[in-house]
Amino acid sequence: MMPLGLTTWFRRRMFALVAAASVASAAAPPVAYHLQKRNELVALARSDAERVGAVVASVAEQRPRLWAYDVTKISERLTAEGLSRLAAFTVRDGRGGAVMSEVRAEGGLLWGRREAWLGGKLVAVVWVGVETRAMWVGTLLITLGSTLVAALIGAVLYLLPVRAIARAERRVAGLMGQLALTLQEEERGRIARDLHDGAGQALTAARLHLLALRRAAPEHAERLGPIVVHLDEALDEVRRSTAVLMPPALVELGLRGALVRHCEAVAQATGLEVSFEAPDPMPAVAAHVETACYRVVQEALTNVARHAGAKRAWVSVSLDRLPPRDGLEGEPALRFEVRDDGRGLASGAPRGSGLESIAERARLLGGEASFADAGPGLRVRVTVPLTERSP
Amino acid sequence: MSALVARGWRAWAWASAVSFAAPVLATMGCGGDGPPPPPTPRETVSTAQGAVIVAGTGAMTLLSTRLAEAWAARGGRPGVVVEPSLGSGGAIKAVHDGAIDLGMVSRPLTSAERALGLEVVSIARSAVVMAAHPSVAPRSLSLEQLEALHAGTLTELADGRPVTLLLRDREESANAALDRWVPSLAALRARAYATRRFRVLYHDDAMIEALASTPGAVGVTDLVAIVERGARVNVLALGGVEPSARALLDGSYRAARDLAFVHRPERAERVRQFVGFVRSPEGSALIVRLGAVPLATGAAP
Repeated sequence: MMPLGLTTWFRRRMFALVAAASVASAAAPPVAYHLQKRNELVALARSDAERVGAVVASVAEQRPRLWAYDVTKISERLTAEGLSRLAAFTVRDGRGGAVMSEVRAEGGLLWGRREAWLGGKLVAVVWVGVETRAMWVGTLLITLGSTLVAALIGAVLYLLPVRAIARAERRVAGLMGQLALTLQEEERGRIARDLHDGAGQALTAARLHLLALRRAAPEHAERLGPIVVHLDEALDEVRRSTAVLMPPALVELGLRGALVRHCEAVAQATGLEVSFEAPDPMPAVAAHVETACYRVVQEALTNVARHAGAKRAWVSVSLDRLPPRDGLEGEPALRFEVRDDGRGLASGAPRGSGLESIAERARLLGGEASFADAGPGLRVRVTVPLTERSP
Repeated sequence: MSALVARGWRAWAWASAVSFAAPVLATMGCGGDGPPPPPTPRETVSTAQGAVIVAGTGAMTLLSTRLAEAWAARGGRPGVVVEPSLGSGGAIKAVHDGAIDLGMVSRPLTSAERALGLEVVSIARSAVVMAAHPSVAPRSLSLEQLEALHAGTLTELADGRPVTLLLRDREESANAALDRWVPSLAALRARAYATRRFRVLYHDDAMIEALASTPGAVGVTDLVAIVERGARVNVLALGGVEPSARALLDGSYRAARDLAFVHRPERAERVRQFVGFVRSPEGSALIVRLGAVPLATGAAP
């Protein structure tokens, strides 16, 4: 079956798209949270700086010359205003000289700055620091959560369409294979008919004319004899080719009858003892399915005759079910089994082309093939659905 | 399956790293006003005019105010203005910057402060006392009781009446004076600040007012503050020792603060006359009347 490559093509593009979308959607919540929290902390820092500045301005108003040295008074007033637990703050006078500074936090800080004015003159500049640890912890937790959610959603968005495409691709490929099989068998049948109706008829007519000529001119019988023999050989070849292309027994006797005749022909030609067992009547299947099943048994017996070194072979046909698929119960199926008592498959040896073609036919029909050690010999088992389905 | 799971974990880890880096990159350089820059060194003022400005520890403010009044009463020049409390540390900075002429300190200078090159003039020794509301009957506290008070384990006195401790702020030098006598008090006090177990007062005035108005209250303050205000509080003996002048001088009462002036060398002439008055017999007598003990000249605290 020719691979379409659609699944691979789609998977690559879908992965890139889903990955980009997942990362973008995962990053959005932590970025939004972080920005918002950062703004809140800066606003809080500036608000506290405003309040500290008001305290400093008040003290400066009471002691305009020496307020920058009255740290005790400022501390007392800050405590009274509920500002004694700031993570960090720094007060500078109007010229940038140090007044007081306290840092109680060990981690990172975000700073807010405010100026304190008194009578149109810059009295002090205040910085207040707020801890950022809680913000980072929150950002991390939201990141972990959002990436997990994005990963789960991304996995679903990726797997669902990719699997659907893969299923569709298999169906299309199977249908194409079935179509190829059908066309192949139809073409064979057409060629067989053309051979039979065209070359076969012409050769038969020529033979008849030659026989009539030999009777009419017995003095030429010796020269005409070999021509008739060659014509007979050609006719036999046409019949053999026609039979290979389109087994006449299938048309005349149906699948069961054709298999019985083929088993007898193989037994006669090879000396194998061939047993056959099948339900009577056999369930009806489509014409190309019949042909494919006939060819499976034909190929399997050819394999036994050429490679197995067996004395006996058993051919059986029975009703079975395929394994469940896509959540549905297994379909009714026909099981064809060819077993021999020969040398079996060598351990680790690759399957030959005959067994490979059996496996391929089974797959194109939507069925299964297995090749197992029969102890002694090989068991070839092919199961095909009674109704057509894609591989 | 395990390979798929491992790949999935790696992908999730990468996605998490990228997602966590996104807010970091998005907010780099934005938000916040940045940390404070290094401070600008203050310009020092080496000369001054007008009245001599005196400011510093609250433990010496009252004493200096009365001395300045006495100096003014005898027509002393230049005049002296005593500013409200700045604390010993604030006074040293203000003197170094030239914002004031005389700083008042009630603790030893630190090595960094000594490196500023200021001159120190010892004036007096005052007692740091435990004072109590008149409802507190006992007139003395053992050192063990003092520790138990700070630990919060002593909540009743022998007569069964409740007792509660009032604290001064952390920076108050009276605390250090008590700690020199009972070293374990420092840690007990630190724990009390952290747990906010006791009320904290920021000035001697506030402490004395609270002691006088809160039944069962006991707190540290200065003897000069009590004497000068005529406050109605009981002064307790500590460890069996009364805070008398003799006990202060001979060192048997160990909770004491040496009070001193500090000034820039270039202002020595400006402040010489007032300092001389403070150390004169008249000044010494006033110091004694206020409950402190005058100290010998020139000795650094």
